[in-house]
Amino acid sequence: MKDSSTRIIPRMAKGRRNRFFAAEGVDELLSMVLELTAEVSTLRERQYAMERVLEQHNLPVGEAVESWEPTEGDEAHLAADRERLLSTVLRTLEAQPKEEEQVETAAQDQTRAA
Amino acid sequence: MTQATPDVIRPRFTRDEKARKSFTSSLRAHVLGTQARRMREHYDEVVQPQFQRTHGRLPADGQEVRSVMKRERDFHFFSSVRSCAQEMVFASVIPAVERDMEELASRASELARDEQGVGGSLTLDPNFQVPENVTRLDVHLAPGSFHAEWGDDDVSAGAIYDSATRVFAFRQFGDDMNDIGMTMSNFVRLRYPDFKPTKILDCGCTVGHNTLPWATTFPDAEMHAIDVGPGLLRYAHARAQALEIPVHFHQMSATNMAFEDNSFDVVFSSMFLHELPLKDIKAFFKEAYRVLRPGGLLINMELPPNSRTEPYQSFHLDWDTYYNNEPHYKPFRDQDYPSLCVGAGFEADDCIEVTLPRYTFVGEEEFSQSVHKPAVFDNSTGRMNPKGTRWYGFGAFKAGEKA
Repeated sequence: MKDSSTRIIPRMAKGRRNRFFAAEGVDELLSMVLELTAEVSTLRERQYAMERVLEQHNLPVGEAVESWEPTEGDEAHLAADRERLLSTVLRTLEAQPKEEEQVETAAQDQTRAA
Repeated sequence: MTQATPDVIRPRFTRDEKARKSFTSSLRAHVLGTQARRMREHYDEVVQPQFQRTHGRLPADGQEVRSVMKRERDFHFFSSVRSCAQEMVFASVIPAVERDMEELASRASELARDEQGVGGSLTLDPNFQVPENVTRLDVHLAPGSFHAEWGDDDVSAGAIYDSATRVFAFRQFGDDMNDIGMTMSNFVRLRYPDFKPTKILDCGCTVGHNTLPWATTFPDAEMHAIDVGPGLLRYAHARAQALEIPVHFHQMSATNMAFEDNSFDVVFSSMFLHELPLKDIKAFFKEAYRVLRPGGLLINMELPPNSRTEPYQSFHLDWDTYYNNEPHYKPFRDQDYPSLCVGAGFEADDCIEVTLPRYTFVGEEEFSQSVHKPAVFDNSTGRMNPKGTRWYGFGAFKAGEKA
């Protein structure tokens, strides 16, 4: 995978990007959500393909996955994983300042307003 | 016989890149289907009645619909998603094209040597100035627009256009991407059975998706095609050679052609005029008139004019002028099309206007019944509608008997 410094063909049209929402950043956010959805879709397709390929090799993994039951250990692992994912995705909404941090926040507000 | 791009000239996409292209096509189909329908319902139920209460009348044209829809949340979401989808169309194909750039260039050069004896040709003009309507903006939000070159003998612009248009079209241009050319060429064959073109020109041919059908519908005719982008033309030529369809590609502006007077029986264009500023459109019509033989036909596949579409449909179709780097789209659609023909020397009585079902979708039998029917204007005309698009065409015969 080429990083942006070695790319030859740009990935975006030149000029200013379209903007439709009055609130700052909403158009960009929507773009990120759609790109993320593209990633999820790509992963789902790969997983589907993988199950079909394994079936072709006489490993009916699709059925096995459907009838698979997690152990207590698995449950704990998966629950922790879901929690980690939620706190990652919702970080900007959930990271409210604690009481002891409020002085600092007020100072930041002052700086930013200047 | 298939006219799908052969593997030899296609970039190799990974499994994940293929999945990403499919997703982007689905996203386009969704925003232009489900989301567009919801937006229309919101207009019918809320926005239009509100307009009527305020003004005591319905919106008169697309501009008035736009002025009120611009404030609506549904329009913001529709437009933002549609705009993202358009960016993603190109982002989904560029990495593979970039990776295979040198390989594709060398394969194209090999095909251009014509060891198979196909008989097509490619003429590039090293002093050619690509017109400003192509260079000023990245048309369609395509990085590099139609003309950028990224390497020696580069075909990337063509490979990007070919693959991206397939993603963009979500199958609405036919399995071989050539439905527009199939529809218009078979219209001419079936509607005018005594008209036997021997020399045909496609203007603004890009990669030749809609050029090749003319060559196969009229196999005895000499086929020429012009465009301004060198990468598009190299790719178009290689693609035609690989499909063993002889076409002569030239780097040339449709507003100033190097062809002799009275040299073609058909001048064709598709989805081309709306990318040109009005002065260039007028220059193209004059050039088309000049190079046509008496009795020859100018036929343009295009979006229908605003005078033929209801206000909401006009608003919907003109979206691209504001958000897809196609500033000439609405000014073109605001024109009186027969006047463009008459202004270039064609007779008013010789003008034609058609709306046609898609040839490769409905088949020869149903299609042949439709070629004599009068034009129909509704929300299937000129719009990519999986439930039944009708392509729009207009043009004129050049007066005088064929010599």
